[in-house]
Amino acid sequence: MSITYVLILAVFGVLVEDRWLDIIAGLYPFRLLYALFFLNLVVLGVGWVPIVLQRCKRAEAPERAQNLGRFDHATQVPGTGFRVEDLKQYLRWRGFQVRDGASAPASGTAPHASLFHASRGRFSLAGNLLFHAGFLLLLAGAVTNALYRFEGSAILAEGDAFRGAKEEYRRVAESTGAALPAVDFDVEKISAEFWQGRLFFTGLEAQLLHRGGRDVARLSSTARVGDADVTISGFGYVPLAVLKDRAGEIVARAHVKLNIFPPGSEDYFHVPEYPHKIFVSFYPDHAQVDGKAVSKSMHPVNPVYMLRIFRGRLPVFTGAVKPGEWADFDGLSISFPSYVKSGTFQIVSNPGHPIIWAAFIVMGLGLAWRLLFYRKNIALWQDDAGRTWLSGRFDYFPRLNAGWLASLGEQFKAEAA
Amino acid sequence: MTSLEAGLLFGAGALYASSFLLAGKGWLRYGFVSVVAGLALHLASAAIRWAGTGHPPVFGTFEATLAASWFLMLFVALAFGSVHRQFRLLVLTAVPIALLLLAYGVTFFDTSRIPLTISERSLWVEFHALFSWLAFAPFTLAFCLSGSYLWSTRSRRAAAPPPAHADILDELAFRYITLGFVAHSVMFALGSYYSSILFGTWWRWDPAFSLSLVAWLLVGLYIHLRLFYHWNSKRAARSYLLIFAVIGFSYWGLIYLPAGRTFHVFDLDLKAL
Repeated sequence: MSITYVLILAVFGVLVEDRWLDIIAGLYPFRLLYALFFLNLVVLGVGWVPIVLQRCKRAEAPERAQNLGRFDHATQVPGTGFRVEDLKQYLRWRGFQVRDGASAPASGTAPHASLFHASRGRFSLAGNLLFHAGFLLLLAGAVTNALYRFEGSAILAEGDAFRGAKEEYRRVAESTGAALPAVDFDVEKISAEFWQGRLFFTGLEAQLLHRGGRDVARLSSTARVGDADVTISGFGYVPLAVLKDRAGEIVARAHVKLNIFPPGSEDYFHVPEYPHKIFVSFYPDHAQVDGKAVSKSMHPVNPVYMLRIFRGRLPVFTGAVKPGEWADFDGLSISFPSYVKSGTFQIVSNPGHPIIWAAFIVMGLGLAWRLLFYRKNIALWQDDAGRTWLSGRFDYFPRLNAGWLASLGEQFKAEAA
Repeated sequence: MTSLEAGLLFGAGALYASSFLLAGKGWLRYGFVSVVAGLALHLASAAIRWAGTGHPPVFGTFEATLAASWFLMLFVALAFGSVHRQFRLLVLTAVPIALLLLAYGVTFFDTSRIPLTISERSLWVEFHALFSWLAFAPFTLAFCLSGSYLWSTRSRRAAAPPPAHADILDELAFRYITLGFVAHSVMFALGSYYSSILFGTWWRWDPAFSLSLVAWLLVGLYIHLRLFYHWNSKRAARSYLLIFAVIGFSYWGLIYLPAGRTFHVFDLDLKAL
C-alpha cells in the first residue's frame, strides 16, 4: 500500500508543482503510510533473518553423491577425456571455491560419484537483507535531518566576516531540535565568470578563511567550515554609498547590500535619519540601446548606476551616475565611488547526511551482491554407466546458466586425439 | 559540432547501419567488427567534443543521444562473445534504436558547443550521468529482447509452451533488467547526493526525481514479481514493455514538460541569454 502511495505521489509529482507535493507528502495520513511501510520492512526483515542465516550456513554441496540428483540442468560432458583440472582452474579464476567430491556406491540409476564441486555466492542472500536494511538507515537519516537540520542563507560581500550569529542570517530554516551551527569565516574573495559576458555563469567561487585554514566554496562543492557546509549560490555587486550634506561633510558612508544583479534589477535603501528612498539599478557594462540602458556584458567595464530618489512620493532625482560622480538632491549629494562583489551563501548542517550516505552504500552493495553475485553451485559427476555430467544449481537465470554449463562442457572437452 | 566531429559521427552511423545489414545476412563476425569500428569513430567524435568543451558529452539532449547510443552499442558489442548467442538479434533490434537516437539528437537539437554552468560543474554530475547511461543501455536491450520474445511467441496458443529459444530471450531480458536496476540505483543515489549539495536536500518533488523514482519502483516491482510470484514469459515481457515506456519518458520526456517544471533540462536557448 505504501509503495502504491509513493508511486501515486511520484506520478502526481510529475504533474503538479513541488510545493504542493511537499504539503501532501507531509500530511499525517501519509506519515502513517510511511510508518506502515517501514513497519512492514521490519516485520519481514525479522522473519527473513533466520531463514537467510540458515540458508547461508547450509552448503548446497553434494556432500553425498545422492544429492547430485537434486541438481538441475545436467549436461553430458562429451567423451571421457574431459579436462577436469583446467575446468577447476577456470572456475577458481571466476571466484568459485572448488572441492573434490566423494564417491558413493552405485545404486541403480542414482549418481555414482562426484568428481568435484564448485560454489560461489553462498552468502549472497544476505545482500537481500542488506538492501532492505538500507531503507531503515535511510529512515534514520531522514528522521535525524528532520529533527536536527539547519539551513540558513546570508548575503556576504568580500571582506565580510561571518560569525554565525542568528541575526547575520537573512533567512533561516531550522528543525525543532536544531542548534545554530558553529560557523566562523571571513570572505576573502569572490570571483565569477560569465560565458561570453552573458548572464550564464561558468564559474562562481568564494575563497573563505576559517580556523581550519582556507577553503573554496562553490555551488557544486561545499566548503566544510566548523559544523556546517558552506556553498555560494548567488552573485551580486555591493556598492559603497557616500552621502554628503550641504556643507560637503560626509554624513554617511557604507557598503549597501542590494539586489541589483542581474543588470537592470532595481532595489532601494534608506539612509537613517533622512526621509529619502534611494532606488538603484546597476549596469556593469553600460550602453544605450534605443534610448534604454542596457549592459553589454556582466563584467564591470563601464559601470553606471541608475538612480531614482524620492522624498515621500516626490521624485527629487532621476539619472545616471558613474563611480566618483555625485547626484545632487535636496541639498544632499550621493556617490558610489567603488563596489565589492557579494554572494549568497548557504550554510547547511545536515546531521543525517552520513547516515543517508551509509544507507545508499549499504543498499548498493546489497543489491549488487544479491543480483550480480548470486549463488551458483556446479558439480562434475559420473553416473553408474560411467558417463560424465556437469550439473548446476543457480539462484537466478537457470536457462542462461544451463547454456553456460553446456558451453563449459564444450570448452573443456579434451581435444580429439 | 565541428565538421570533423560530424564526419566521424556520420562514419559511426554508417558502420552501425552496415553491422545491421551484415548481421541480417548472418555474417556475425563482420557485423561485430563493424560495430566495434563504429564505436571507435563514435568515441573519437565524442572525445573531440569533450576536448573542445572541457566536459564529457552528457549534457543537453544532443549530447545525451551521443552517450546513450554509444553505451547501447557498447553493450551490443559485449554480447558478441556471449554463450547465449543473441548478438544477431541485439544488432537487428538495437542498431535501429541507436541510429534513431542519433538522428533525433542531430536533427532536433542544438549541436553547438556550450560550456557548463556552475551547477553542472561537478564530478558527481558526471558519474551520475555515466551510471544513468549504464542503466539505459541494458534497459533498452531488455526492451529489445522482451519485444522479440513476444514476437517469437505471437502465433502460439496460450497453453502451448514457448519455444526454448524464446525462453532464453525472456531470461536474458531479465538479466539485463537486473543490471540496469543496479546501475539505475547508483545513478539515483549519486543524483540525490548531488541534490543535497545544490539544494541542501536529498529529495525534491521535481519531475526528474519523481519520474526516476516511478521507473525505479516499477522495475523493483517487476523484479519482485518475477522472483516471488513467478511472473515470466509473456506476462513479464508485456509488463516490461509498459515499464520501459516510463523509463524512456524519464530519460527523454522531461524536455517536453512545461518550461520551468524541472531543473533537469540542459538544452539552452542561447538567444534567450
